[in-house]
Amino acid sequence: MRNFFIALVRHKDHVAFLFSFIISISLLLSNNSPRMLVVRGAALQVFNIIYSPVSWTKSMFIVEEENKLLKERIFLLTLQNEKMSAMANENSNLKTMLNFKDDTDLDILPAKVINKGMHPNLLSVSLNVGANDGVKINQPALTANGVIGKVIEVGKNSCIVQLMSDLNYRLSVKMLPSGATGILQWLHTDYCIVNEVPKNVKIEIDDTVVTSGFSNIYPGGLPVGKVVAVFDERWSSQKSVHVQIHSDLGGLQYLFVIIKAEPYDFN
Amino acid sequence: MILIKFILPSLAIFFFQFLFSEILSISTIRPDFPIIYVMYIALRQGRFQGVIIGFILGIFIDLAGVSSYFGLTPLTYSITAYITGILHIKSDNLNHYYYTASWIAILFFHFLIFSLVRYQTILMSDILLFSIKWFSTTAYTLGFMLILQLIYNVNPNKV
Repeated sequence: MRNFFIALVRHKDHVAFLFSFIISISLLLSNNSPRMLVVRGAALQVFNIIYSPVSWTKSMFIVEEENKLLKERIFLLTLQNEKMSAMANENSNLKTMLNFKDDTDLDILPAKVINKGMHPNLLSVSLNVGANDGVKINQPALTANGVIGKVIEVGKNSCIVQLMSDLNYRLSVKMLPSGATGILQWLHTDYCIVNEVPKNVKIEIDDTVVTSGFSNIYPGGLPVGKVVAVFDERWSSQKSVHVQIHSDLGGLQYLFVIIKAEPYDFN
Repeated sequence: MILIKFILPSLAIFFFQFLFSEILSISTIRPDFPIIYVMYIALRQGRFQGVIIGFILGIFIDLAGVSSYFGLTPLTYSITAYITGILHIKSDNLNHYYYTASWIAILFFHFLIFSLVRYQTILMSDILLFSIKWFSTTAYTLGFMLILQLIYNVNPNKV
């Protein structure tokens, strides 16, 4: 036994590496266990409290410029809103005439980005809303421009949003006007790729990309981006579509979490 | 002694990365100061200290907010510290240029593991873009490490 301990001390660097390797692998393999989620949720609370003074200080530096931009945007949106109100009235009348029932009901919660993680690449952000505000795991997250990710961890007053730039992120999308569907995944910067699109579908540059509504997480019709390239390989029966997302991953300040969304009723 | 030598600097590096790395970011790529610190510890103090510090720092970094692969950072930091510790053992026998090239190569290897996991999709579709991502992520951190050489040289034989 004594010799065993002496050997351990003599080779302590190898033993330490072996232990850290085993523990890291076991952590990687138990990412979705309930205990791990509780621990990560509690740690998230602590780190977000530590980061909040820095976040507040940064926001003070940009508040004047942000205020000016927001005022301009409000003005433009007000004009657009009036136009859309008129169109909505017309649409409502037409729907009534066709006996079309719209069950869509989105309940949106605004949130501030308080932490963008520490890794060399931006993969997730923390928001200042959590379980106390009605946030749950797998709720969609959007910017004012479109889909940006989904909630994957929730604490009492904060949550982590997995961004599109995360390797494991997938989004079911539909390209309009063709209606072709596919699974979108991130490629680099603000470009994503949709693979396995049927070759016979006609897709043009600048076609709009929206959520398909087929998943349990995202309601249909949420803006995602626009088509910037179509790759049609001769030897394959499918093609790939490159999409530029509307949201700017590098400049995230505020997000919206969809708290409640009912799927479209096509009856 | 341990407090001054390891714990306080580790906390300082962690909070520096946590609070200020975003300010230094270029198009979502941020410098990785903890790995610089872990390599310094492994090269100067030895493999054992490097692995322990790397593992603990990695855990805290992942706890601070990661969406997937929780546990990848302590793993990569531990592996890098373990490999870098070999240079600490052989520092007396190595030519200075070979020593420098070795730790630069280890840093590239660290980000290769990181990029292989994070950019798998790009690797399968566009290897040139993957290489650019790998090199740019490594080069940004390497730049800071080279600047730090002017203040505190990583080679223990070259004070």
